[in-house]
Amino acid sequence: MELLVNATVRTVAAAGDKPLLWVLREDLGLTGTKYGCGIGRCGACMVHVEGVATPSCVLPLFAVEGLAITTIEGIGTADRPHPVQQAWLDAGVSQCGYCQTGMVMSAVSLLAGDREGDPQAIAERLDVLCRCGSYPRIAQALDLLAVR
Amino acid sequence: MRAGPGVVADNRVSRRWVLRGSAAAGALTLTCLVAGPGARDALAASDADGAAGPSGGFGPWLRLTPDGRIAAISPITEIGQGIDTLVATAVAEELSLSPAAISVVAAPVDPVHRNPFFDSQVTGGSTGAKVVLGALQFAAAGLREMLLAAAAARWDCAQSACTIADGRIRNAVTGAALSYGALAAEAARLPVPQDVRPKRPGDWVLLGRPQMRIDSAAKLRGQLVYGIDFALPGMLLGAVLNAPSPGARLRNVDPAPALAIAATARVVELPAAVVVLAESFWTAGRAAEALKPDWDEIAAAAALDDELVSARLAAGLQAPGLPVAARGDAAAADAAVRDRLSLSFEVPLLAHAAMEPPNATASVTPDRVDIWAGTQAQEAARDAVAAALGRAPASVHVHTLPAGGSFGRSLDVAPVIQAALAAAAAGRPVKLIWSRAQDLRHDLYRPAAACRIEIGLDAEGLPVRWLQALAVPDMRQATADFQRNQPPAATPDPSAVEGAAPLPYAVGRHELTWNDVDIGMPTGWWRSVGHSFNAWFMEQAIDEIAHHAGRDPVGLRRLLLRDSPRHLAVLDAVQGMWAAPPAAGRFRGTALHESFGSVVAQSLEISLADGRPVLHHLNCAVDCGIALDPDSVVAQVQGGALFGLTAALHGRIRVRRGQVQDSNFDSYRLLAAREAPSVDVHVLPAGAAALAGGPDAIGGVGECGVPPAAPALCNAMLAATGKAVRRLPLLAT
Repeated sequence: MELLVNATVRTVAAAGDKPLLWVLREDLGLTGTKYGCGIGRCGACMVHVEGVATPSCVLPLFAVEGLAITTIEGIGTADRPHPVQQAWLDAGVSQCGYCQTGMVMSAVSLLAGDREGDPQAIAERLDVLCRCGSYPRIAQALDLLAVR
Repeated sequence: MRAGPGVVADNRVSRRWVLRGSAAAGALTLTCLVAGPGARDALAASDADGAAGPSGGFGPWLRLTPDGRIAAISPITEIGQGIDTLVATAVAEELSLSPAAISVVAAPVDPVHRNPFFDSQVTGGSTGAKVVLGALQFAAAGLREMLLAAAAARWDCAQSACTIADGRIRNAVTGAALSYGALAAEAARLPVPQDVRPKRPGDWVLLGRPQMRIDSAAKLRGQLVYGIDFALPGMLLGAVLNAPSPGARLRNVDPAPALAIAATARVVELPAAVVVLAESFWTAGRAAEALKPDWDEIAAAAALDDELVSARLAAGLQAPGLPVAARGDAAAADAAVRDRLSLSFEVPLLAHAAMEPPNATASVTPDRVDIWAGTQAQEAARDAVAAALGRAPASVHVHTLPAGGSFGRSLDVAPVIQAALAAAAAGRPVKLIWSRAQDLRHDLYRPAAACRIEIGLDAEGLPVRWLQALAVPDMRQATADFQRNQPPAATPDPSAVEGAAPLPYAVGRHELTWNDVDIGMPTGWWRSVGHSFNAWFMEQAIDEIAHHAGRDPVGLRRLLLRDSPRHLAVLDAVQGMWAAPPAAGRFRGTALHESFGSVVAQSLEISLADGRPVLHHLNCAVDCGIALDPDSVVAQVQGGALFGLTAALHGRIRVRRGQVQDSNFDSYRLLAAREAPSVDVHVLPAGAAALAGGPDAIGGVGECGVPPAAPALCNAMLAATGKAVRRLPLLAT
């Protein structure tokens, strides 16, 4: 099957019911998307499907054929981080960092759909669980983004 | 494996060190041992028997290569606490570099990298900074001296004419400059200095100031390799079914259902688990779920449920306990008592629920075993793998990777053993991952615990007698064997009673007893361990006393802290963070607790919606002695507080017929962003005693934010409703 991942066409030989999360991690070597719960609840596995943040652990491969998928590897570069990544850096958000790729994917998607968004409203819609308790820093990062 | 709180509170920061260097391939490697009886002998013996290798057979702390790279070798696992950044900062401080210029490399299991608080290589007990700081500062200061001496020799000038700044050694007379790498080979041939003087805190330019974490950019781009991301060529992926109830063993398993899903899957039988190996974890997981193993469950498991755990805890409060602490004049207290309060509390089992599920990768070949894991217990992992495979420990090499959380979870070496056994059975490397269900259902849980406090009040309503009984499973017996064969403990378990004595409050007569309770479930070390419940018991009791006597809870604390100036200062600091009294409909709860050498006060403002708490704002004040990185202290206290609030609101592991019922985040709820309060943290400046290197010089900060959170919330609930909370979690449905 052909998949459009980070603006590149990739050929994948995997079962159609294999969740996108494991296709990304095992078949395409894109390990920035994390396994956290497997039931679409924690958000560590967030990717963009046609720009919309979606948990990839409950998304079968057949459902994304022909759709544009963006993973954390497609967001920003080492030299030019995405503004969300830069705000996260400046606010010192990451502790263990495991959920933060999902957090960034969720925030990028929400902000793209709501550029004037109230930071607090965005924070409440992030829908990604952080066990380290980075939420206060995320609020700070969203405040930074709002004034930039 | 875990020492008591008294041991952790020891000041070992000011250890003296013996420095040893070696040269290999132009690189200069430095290691150091704690000075004292045996240190020099150990080095000499190691040199003499030709154990060879760098530094006489002892692993390095610091390495400078001719390309100018400096690697700091750290024994503490990066689990989100920011220890790698602190390691880099401490080395950069001595060598006038940026922390980002230092590579932090995970240490192998090695005697010099033992955590002195546990006599084993362990990340735990909020000891990380204390473990790495002294040795690395000494080694880095030694390297600085050697670079200056090498430069002086090269330039044939006095060493005093050489200065170090911005990553270069300069000749103050000629203006010439050399990089560290250019001097590495020459420095390596010089004698290793022993009269080494790391910078004093007053001279620090990096330590004591906020630093950008060295690994954040990689984390935010998904480039950091956690244990679960590690891969070896040709490896198989493993999914696990652990025995369903404590103590159960595998009789046998028919592999056919797994093979029907994946014809090439391999089913490996272990004593208390089944591992299914496949080319994909998703495939292995589906195949594992199809299996119907025949388990030999112990008879006791059938009766094991929440009610039994509660009943055993209640019985543990009735039986006479082991004395833990007794202070004050009992007769005088008895004479002064005019009123009594009897308070009972109970907390449930809790899971760690780190976001990265347990995992390990193993490669087993005839002459060596390699393990890659985000483990917090490298030495225990090595020894357990060696024992399981019948190999010599020296042939087992543990490679530590950063962990996605942990909070004590990866002190459990079970996944590492399983990975090694599966790799040995398969003859191929194996990466084994526990599904979230396996993680939550087979954790080493924060034990359920109960407490009764009998308060005697005088005519003023002030406590003059405080008799406290704890019923807490003995965590020293935690992991090995759920059918306990050991005789009853002769001494209190330090983890079970930590934080319950000494009381910072002046209460006249204070007595504390402890009873072990066999709750039949495996228990372990969960962020802040015994403090997590003891703070909740005691700090709620203070508010109940205040409520009963019609006193202000903070005012009562101030009165009772007359002999505890450090605690009082932290309490006053947190009170000072509120600009105004709470608005109508808002209620505040305050709690205070000392743990791991740090004192934290928290004050939480809530309102009620349909009787449920809405958390608005949390103020925290912390005295951790010297804040080595104030921004990191703030992050840890923020995170610790939310960890504690998560448990207070939602945390509960339920057991039915010996089997844990909670298998994912739908029932084992974690705090969501929309539920979290805003959090401010005030870090108190270090006192004179800390700056002089006293016992409170460096308090641990990874755990101290947890204990006050639950009582602060419940005290706010008491203020809002007039009703005390006696069981957690608050939002149990």
